[in-house]
Amino acid sequence: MKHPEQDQLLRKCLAGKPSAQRRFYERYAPRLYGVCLRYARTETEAQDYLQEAFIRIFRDLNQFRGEGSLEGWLRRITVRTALGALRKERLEFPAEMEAFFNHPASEPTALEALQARDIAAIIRQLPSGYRAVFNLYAIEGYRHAEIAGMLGISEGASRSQYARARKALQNLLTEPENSRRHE
Amino acid sequence: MSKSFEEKMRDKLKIYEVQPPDSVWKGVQKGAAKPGIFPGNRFLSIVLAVTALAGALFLWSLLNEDSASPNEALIVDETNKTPVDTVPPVFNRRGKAVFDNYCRTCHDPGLINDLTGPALFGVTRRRPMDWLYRFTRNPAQMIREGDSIAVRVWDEWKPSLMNAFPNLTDQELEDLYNYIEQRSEYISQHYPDLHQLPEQAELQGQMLYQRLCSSCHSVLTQESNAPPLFGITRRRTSSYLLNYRHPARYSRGDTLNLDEILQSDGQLFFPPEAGAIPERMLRSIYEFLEGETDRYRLDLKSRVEAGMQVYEQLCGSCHIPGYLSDQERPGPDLRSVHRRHSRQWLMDFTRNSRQMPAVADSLPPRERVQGRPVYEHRFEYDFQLEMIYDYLEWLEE
Repeated sequence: MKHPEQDQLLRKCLAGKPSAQRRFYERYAPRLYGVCLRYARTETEAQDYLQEAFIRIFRDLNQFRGEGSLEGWLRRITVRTALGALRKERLEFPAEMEAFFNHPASEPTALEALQARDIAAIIRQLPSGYRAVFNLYAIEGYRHAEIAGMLGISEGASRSQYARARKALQNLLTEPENSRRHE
Repeated sequence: MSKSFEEKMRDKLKIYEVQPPDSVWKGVQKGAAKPGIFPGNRFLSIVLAVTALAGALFLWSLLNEDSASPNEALIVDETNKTPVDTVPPVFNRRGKAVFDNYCRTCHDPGLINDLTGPALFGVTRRRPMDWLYRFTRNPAQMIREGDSIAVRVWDEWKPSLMNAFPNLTDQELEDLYNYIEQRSEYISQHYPDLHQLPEQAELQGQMLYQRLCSSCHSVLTQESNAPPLFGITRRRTSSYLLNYRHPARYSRGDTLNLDEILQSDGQLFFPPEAGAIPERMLRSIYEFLEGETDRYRLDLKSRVEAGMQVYEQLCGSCHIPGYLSDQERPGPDLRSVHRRHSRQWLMDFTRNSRQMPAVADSLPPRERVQGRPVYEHRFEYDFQLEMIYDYLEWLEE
């Protein structure tokens, strides 16, 4: 392990030192909150996910073996927590997607011009199923077979729902070189 | 080359950091220290409290292979409410009275633990109503009559046999099972991490099956090292399935924890060893397999497709598949074979004949004896042969 500082922090957390837990939280919470903000529908929901994820993280910290990166492990737990919450309310794949955007009439914006915050806000407007599939495939980089297993849908469904989510997002986030506007 | 849409999105979002509000940290502190009392949203509080508590107990159960089920403490008894449960559930009162009078001595009042008698959680979804009525009134008779479910229950629970309650009226039984159904639903809704009704369990089972089993097993066909799982819940009792240990690994005394198994995505040996997979997860996997078995059994289209798949694997190297009759193969065309012989004859012939020969060299060693093929192993499973014959019949039509 090449992260003596991280190692020490982990050890102190495992020993139950409150100050270390607090530092651990402060160090990773912003990034993991960013993850939650992509999966949740609202910021309040994202905060609930984050809270639950951290409760699990502190609970299971002793199971982290130090193989692979700590951040990857934390992300996986966070994603799993968010998916669990999403699945509880059933994943939705409505056929008419465009209706779910608040401003379907607005001009598409160039992806390059947007901040991460704005993109996350747009992703949050996707129906839950598309949101999950899009995040897992495009951002987290899982394969469709894995996503199918995580969401309890078929691999083909994952593929096709991803394609639809991608198209819907692309309609809103036009890329400059192939700006195809419908006018 | 410009970047793909995915790459651009990933670049934008990989490092996306936002400072969460302080309330989250407070919630984490409380949740980690003392599950049960969360501020704010009540529904979420319940879910969180249960998750945290279940988690703690779950870890405990990992340490103690044979620990008592943790569920008891979590189930809300009307007389003993947990702090988060401010709305008392309304269940069928008369049904509860019947339960308390007749069932409670043997069955868990919380419905989810096996005691002297099995847990009754979700039983109204698993069995038809008239079956439940008949069984409650006279279980011994149903076993004697050879009712398949009753016999399975007996196999699993013998020598204890449930008392007969022939005097319960239809009204009383209706109330009783109504109460059990309501209570099961309540548990399923409020404690989803602990217990799920059959259809949800099947969904969860499918997920777990894909992660843990499907890298070695297939439902329909033999894989290099693993038997097919079709009908496994009918071929083995559930206590056998839940307690099965992979002999090779078990004898080495390896212990695994659940996280290692999950992270290996099924690359580790048969997972239930060392009790690392909690029983409810195993149950949901078997629930799923039972559903799959039914699907192939009852749905003609699935059956024919399955038959085709099995045929390709077991017969296709020698016999021409019906729809490709221009290819040269050593074996005869099987398309009308079911008209000439009964299924039983075909099964015997398939397994024992020395007339299906010739390619013995290409068979794996255990299918050869002194250079001649032996097909008992290859055609070990009745269900596969049945599916093949179904497929051949379907081809004819």
